[in-house]
Amino acid sequence: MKFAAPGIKDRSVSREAFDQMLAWLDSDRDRAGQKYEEIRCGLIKIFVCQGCIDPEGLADETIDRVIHKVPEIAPNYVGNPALYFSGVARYVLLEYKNRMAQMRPLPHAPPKQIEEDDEDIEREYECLDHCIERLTPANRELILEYYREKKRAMIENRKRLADRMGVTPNALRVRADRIRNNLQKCVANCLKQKGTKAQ
Amino acid sequence: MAEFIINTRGKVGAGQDIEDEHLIRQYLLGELSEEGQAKVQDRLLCDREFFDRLVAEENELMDDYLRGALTEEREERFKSYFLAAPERRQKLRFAKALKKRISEEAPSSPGIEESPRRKHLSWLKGMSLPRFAAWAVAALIFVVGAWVAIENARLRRQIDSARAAQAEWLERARQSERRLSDEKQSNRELAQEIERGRSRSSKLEREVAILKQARKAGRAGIMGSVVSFALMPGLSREGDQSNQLEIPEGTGRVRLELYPEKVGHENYRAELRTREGNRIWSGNGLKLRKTVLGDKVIADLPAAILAKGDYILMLRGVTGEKNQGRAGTYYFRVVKE
Repeated sequence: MKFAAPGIKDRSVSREAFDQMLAWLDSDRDRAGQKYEEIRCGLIKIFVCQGCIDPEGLADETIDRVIHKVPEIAPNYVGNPALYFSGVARYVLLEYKNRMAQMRPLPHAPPKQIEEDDEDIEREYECLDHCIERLTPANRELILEYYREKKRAMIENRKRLADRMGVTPNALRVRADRIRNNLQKCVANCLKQKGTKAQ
Repeated sequence: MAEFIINTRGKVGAGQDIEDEHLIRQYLLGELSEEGQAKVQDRLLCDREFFDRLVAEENELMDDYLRGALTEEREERFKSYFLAAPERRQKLRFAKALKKRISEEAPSSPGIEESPRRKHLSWLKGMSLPRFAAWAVAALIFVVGAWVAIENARLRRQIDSARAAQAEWLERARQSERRLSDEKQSNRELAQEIERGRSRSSKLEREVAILKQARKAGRAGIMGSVVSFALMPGLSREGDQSNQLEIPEGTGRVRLELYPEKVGHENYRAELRTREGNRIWSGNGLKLRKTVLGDKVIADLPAAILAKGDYILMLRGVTGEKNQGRAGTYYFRVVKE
């Protein structure tokens, strides 16, 4: 049973409202799902770029607000719906910044966090080793080669690598970044699994 | 292909790529006007390729910082602006770890050059008797044939010995590599042992500090006392007074009653951060409790970690292993009595 406390606006989104938003994004459900994922990723990135503490929460807040508006705006909206999300995100960001401006920084650093200490760094190295081992041999070689050299040598190395693989340097860069980002996700998951228990 | 895509403003080619790279870097370092930022944000949501390039540029920027390749001014902006988000600090930690891991990795063995045998054989194959010798006697053919056979055998011997030398060299290289890797492993173990020691000692120091505080509280006769606060979620609630927590000195634990915006999850995860984004506490597996005032989640945390100041608590609903959804964000101020 759903039971929100009095005075709290229920932000729960019904399946129907969510589907309506998807239909607004694209009449094809699969494409709509993909567009939704891309918009959510983009929103998270926008909030990260603005230094927000809870980018995912703010992205979801933006999406929830749009979902509540869709029945009203969709019939007459002209243009790419992603731009509407961008506009709402600006308002959410403004509210967030106002809120943060009201907040006072701590006069002195708080006691060192309870869960994150030097052992976490050690765990991170262990996880990185584990995740590199899990890459396919080709991806492992690519990432180790791509980031290996320094400065000028690195540029030359990347050109050689791109030639060897028969792709453009740009394509190689995107591929290396995807592997790197997946590696980072793998490390984050691994750390979560090794992480702290409920308190 | 990417170099020749025409963008929305009609520019073509690598020049546009460079311009975009420059624009992205300015955006990442907070060097754009509000209007400029809005334009970049619109493109981020509408253009997947632009999004990918921004992600790539983030990594490049971090690598440049780690290599010391940024100007002094940009290094400052990198620290003060780019690293403001906790996620970015985590990403930088990962970049450092990756850099270290890659530098530990032995460089791959250089490509073995094509063997000279092939050249010799082709030379042998290509070797023909001069036309003017066509009329030569069978004896001469025999002599030439014999010479070729002898030469061929000599070359084969040379190749065999070259192969043996190469195998020996490879074995030596492998042995050195193994020794190097063993040494690296033992160095790593030693470093980990030192880190563990350091970590244990800093943990003990923290525990001593907490015990000291608890002893002080015990002397005041309120050791182990618990204070409870109800927190309401939201970004745009009026004023801060409603979410101001007055914690009496010597309080042992603080119980936060969180009223979520979204309910219906199996359990909840709470994460407490300072205004600067430093995570100071988190709790998993928190359960929703039904009360007459509404459903709430209780987070119980040590008072010692809450210094005077402002905090953000993020509550996420968890269903299944991966599915996490926002359930509420709580802003509050701690005032110590």
